[in-house]
Amino acid sequence: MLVEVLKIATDPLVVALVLWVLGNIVVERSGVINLALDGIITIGIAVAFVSTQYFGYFIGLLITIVTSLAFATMFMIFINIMHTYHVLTGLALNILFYGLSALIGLRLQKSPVLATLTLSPVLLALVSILAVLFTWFILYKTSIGIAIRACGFNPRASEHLGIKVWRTRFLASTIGYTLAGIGSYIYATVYRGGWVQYTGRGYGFLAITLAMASTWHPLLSYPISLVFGYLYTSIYALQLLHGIHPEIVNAIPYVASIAIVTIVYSTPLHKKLAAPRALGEVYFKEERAA
Amino acid sequence: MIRPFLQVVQLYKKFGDITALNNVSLAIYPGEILVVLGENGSGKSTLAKILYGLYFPDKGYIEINGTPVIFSSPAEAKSKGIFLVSQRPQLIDDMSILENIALFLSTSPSRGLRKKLSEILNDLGMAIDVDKSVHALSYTEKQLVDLVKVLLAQPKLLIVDEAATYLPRELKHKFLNIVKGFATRGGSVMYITHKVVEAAEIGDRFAVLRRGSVVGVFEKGVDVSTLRQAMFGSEEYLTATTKSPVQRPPHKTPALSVENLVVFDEYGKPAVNDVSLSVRLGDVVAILGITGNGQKELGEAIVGLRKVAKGKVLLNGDEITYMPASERVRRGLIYVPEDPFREGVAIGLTVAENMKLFSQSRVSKEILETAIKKLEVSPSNPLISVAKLSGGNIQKVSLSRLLLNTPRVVIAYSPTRMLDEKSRVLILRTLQKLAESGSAVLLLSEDIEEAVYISTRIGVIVNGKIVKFFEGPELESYREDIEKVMVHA
Amino acid sequence: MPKVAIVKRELSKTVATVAKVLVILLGLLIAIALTSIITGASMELAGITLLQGFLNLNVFVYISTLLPIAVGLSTAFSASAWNLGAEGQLVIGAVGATFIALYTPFGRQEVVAPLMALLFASFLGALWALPAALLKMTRGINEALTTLLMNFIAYHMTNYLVKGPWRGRAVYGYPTTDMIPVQARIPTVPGYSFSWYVVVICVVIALLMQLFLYRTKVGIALRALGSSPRFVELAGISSKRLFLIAFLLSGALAGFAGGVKVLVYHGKLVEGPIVGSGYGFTAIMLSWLGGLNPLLLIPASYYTAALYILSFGLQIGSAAVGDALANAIVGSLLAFILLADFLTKYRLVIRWS
Repeated sequence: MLVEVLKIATDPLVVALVLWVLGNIVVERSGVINLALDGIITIGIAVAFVSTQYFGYFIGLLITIVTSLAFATMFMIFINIMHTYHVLTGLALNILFYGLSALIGLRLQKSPVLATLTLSPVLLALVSILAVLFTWFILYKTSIGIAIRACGFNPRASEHLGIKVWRTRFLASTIGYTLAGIGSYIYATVYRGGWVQYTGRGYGFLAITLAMASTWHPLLSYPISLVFGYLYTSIYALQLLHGIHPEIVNAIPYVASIAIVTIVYSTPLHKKLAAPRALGEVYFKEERAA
Repeated sequence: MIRPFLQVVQLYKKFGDITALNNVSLAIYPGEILVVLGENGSGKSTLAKILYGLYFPDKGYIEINGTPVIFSSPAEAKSKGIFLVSQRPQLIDDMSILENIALFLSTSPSRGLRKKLSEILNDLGMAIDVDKSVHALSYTEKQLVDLVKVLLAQPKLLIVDEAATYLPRELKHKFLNIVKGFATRGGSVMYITHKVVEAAEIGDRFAVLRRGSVVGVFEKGVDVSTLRQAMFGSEEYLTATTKSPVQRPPHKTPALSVENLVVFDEYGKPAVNDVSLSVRLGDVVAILGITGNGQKELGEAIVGLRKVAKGKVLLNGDEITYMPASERVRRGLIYVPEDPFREGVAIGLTVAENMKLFSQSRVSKEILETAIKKLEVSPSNPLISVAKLSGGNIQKVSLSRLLLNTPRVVIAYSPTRMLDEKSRVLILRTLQKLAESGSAVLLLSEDIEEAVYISTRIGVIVNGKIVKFFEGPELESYREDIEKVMVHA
Repeated sequence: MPKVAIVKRELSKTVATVAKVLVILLGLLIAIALTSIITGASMELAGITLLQGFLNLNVFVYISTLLPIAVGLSTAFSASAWNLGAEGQLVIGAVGATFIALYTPFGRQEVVAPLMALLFASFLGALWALPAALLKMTRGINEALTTLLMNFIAYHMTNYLVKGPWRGRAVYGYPTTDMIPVQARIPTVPGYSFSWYVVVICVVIALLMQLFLYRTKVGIALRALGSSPRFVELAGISSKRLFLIAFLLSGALAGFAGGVKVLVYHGKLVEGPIVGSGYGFTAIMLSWLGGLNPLLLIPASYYTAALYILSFGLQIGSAAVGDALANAIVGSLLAFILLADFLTKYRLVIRWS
């Protein structure tokens, strides 16, 4: 059992997933439904893959993070400055981002493969655990984190208290997408080592689901990510051992996420675990209201 | 000659097609309490929000110690020493008191802050654990925390927007003393209210707003009737009109009865606690209470917008406790919500479309035009989007539901809050007429004037419980007693 | 330092429409520019290809899928029912149509087969939307996220079918079913893969939905639901029932589109992501382009279809580049629509202090 857990915790795919989930938690805690994550991950992976081919692993990491942040900022401008619907913006930009990711990969790649970066399992596990602790500390123990969560609970009252809501959200997206960018980088260079069109598409939505299933709490998100990581990493083992079709295994995380969320929301549990109440609300400072 | 701390220079603010502030100029001196008087919709809250950086002015600016500024966020106003305490406490319910204060002071919730905060709360006679979530506090406690946070921040100008109006008497006294003390030490206070008598007591100077313009500035010692005259102009107002007597005695059978009702708020705290009441056909019953004491939840539970935890609601003797709201409305229980923007109308639809939805039967063009005329909705074109109307007119569209149906029971929650005096009288008379023609009316409000004006029975709700009923033909003589019961929590 | 603030404005309908048309024209320019940059074709060539795209009858291939989905979604979004699951509902609709055509006796009866298949496709589409609607109504779970997840479940289920139990006998290991019987197929225009019957049905659906949304009480109430569910309840109309109607209608129409794809276009069931090809997502934004107005969706879907054709029309680069380009163009156009929304609903106040 312990061996199994260790194996999952050190799996680069799982580590990437953990980082994506954490990044998403930070962003959604500030009240923004983060659907653009999927597109930005897809771009991040393509950029990590291509830039590493040109500039090596370290510069590749930096470029991946900077690109993720740039597109995240674009998303935030739409939501916080233009006051567009979160869900629509996310989906629209995703379509654009998928296209861009494919153009980057198709047009700029030197070859369709990349020598995978070998990192020690301990280091990998450490990265994800430190990221979990870091996210938790930022969100719950610093004034920045309190401001981020306040914007997710009630942006209007936050503004009254003197928080600049849009600035806080930009900050949250910077923290969140740095984590997500590292995740995309690990996925591309450590786990995958190759790229085909739209590699990584769908993981963003999985991360969003897992964040929801863990009620946007960083500490809770870790075990939950491990469980789903296990499912993903053992698709073929499950087929060999139990004869379960891989496509069925592929669908399990989505079915299970819906099930978990249903269970969480059917019990009084979700009231205790304060979720960002204003998630997805278009916040306009000068709204007319009674 | 002392220089003003702050000057408001030709401020102008529009919302869509509605002008909220029209060329407003004012000065506030150090050490004075400037009262800004005006009725609902006169623009006084808009002014406060511009000064605190919540709204951005279209034209005009503010001068602080002679330097012109425009704020684009409360954070900037705060940095200049301007603080706002608003009518409704603006706190994050899901966080602790300490976290809220830390947010406000832009620090982390340290031990030192915890100590300081506890001390100040103790001084005010409020021994609360500062780690308690704000949602666990009573409405008054929230208001106090909202005040305390400002005191911790060394303000230069304190804007009080109706924040003290409904505080319990002793606390209000304490609070007003703090404000006065702050002014004597050289601070400036802008005290916003619609209560003339209260204003006269506390103010050093008075600026009266009507329909977005300053209509007069008065020095200390001005008499109340002059202020009132300035506030209302030549329009009729409630206190000046005589109460119209009820024409017919009510029926014997109750149309609506509520038995031992318990309702929880969003956080599982009882908001309505063991309330029983009944309203007969032809009766107007008012439940009075300071905002946050449960009358909103009571109204919502009766109409079905909120879950009932315990107890029963009966309409014409049939139990409707667990019916969806729409079903109750179809059975003739009509509810007029307080917030017309979010609940009263569908803001994206036209006036005509809204009215069509209110009616249970087909609405002809004539019926539509009659309703618009009766309620004096302006502009009277039924084909324009509701979003283009002013707040008061939107409320009137929402109220058209009373004319387009023949309700058995009407529940109205602060139906006149957004209206000017003239429309207010119009609406109260409409409710009264409905009762006379055989409907049962339940008015939920915090306004004693209007309750006394139309009701035959008044219950006072405090902390979710109806503590006392007042009855009889001379309800007006109980006015002071009612107020006492309301504010003594 | 200048100070900038964002405040609301009320533009007249005409001005707002003009703004939108401008964005649409701008979108064309962007499409031409992007195409020319990516493929290396000259601007003129890209422009001419685009023009040909508008005149190309193949637009109807796209219209007959995108239009019904977008019409359904407009209804849902008007009611603030955030159904993001059209992609999955489409895919499941395709499964339904295939089932009728291949595995039931109806499959070989002329006229009956396609009608039954389309009906069943719509039914399955609505059924696929149902869980998310129920979870929202009973548990308050965000329907946007659940519908999104249902898309992936639909993909994998369909993949399982075409790789597993439904794999055809004559497909040489490709993950598809056998071709559906000729009787079940809807006759297409010679040389093209669309059918006039379907196009006409799609336009009629749009017209009927327009009447429904603006002329009937239920329709008006659906639009009101977007403003506030409480308002609708207080007007005596069940908001839950309305929500369910909006959701199921949008699911059914997406399912219908899935049926069309199998009966007209593919002629068999293929892998989930290929059946869907992202149309379920594009239609979400298309419905926004049409201002959630079924009537305006007709030109809007024509326009979007032409853009699709542009990106595939240039025979430069691989199919993969074409697909990527299509996404980039459609995506940036959608972003511009959001920008136009912003510019028509808000204005900037800039003050020099």
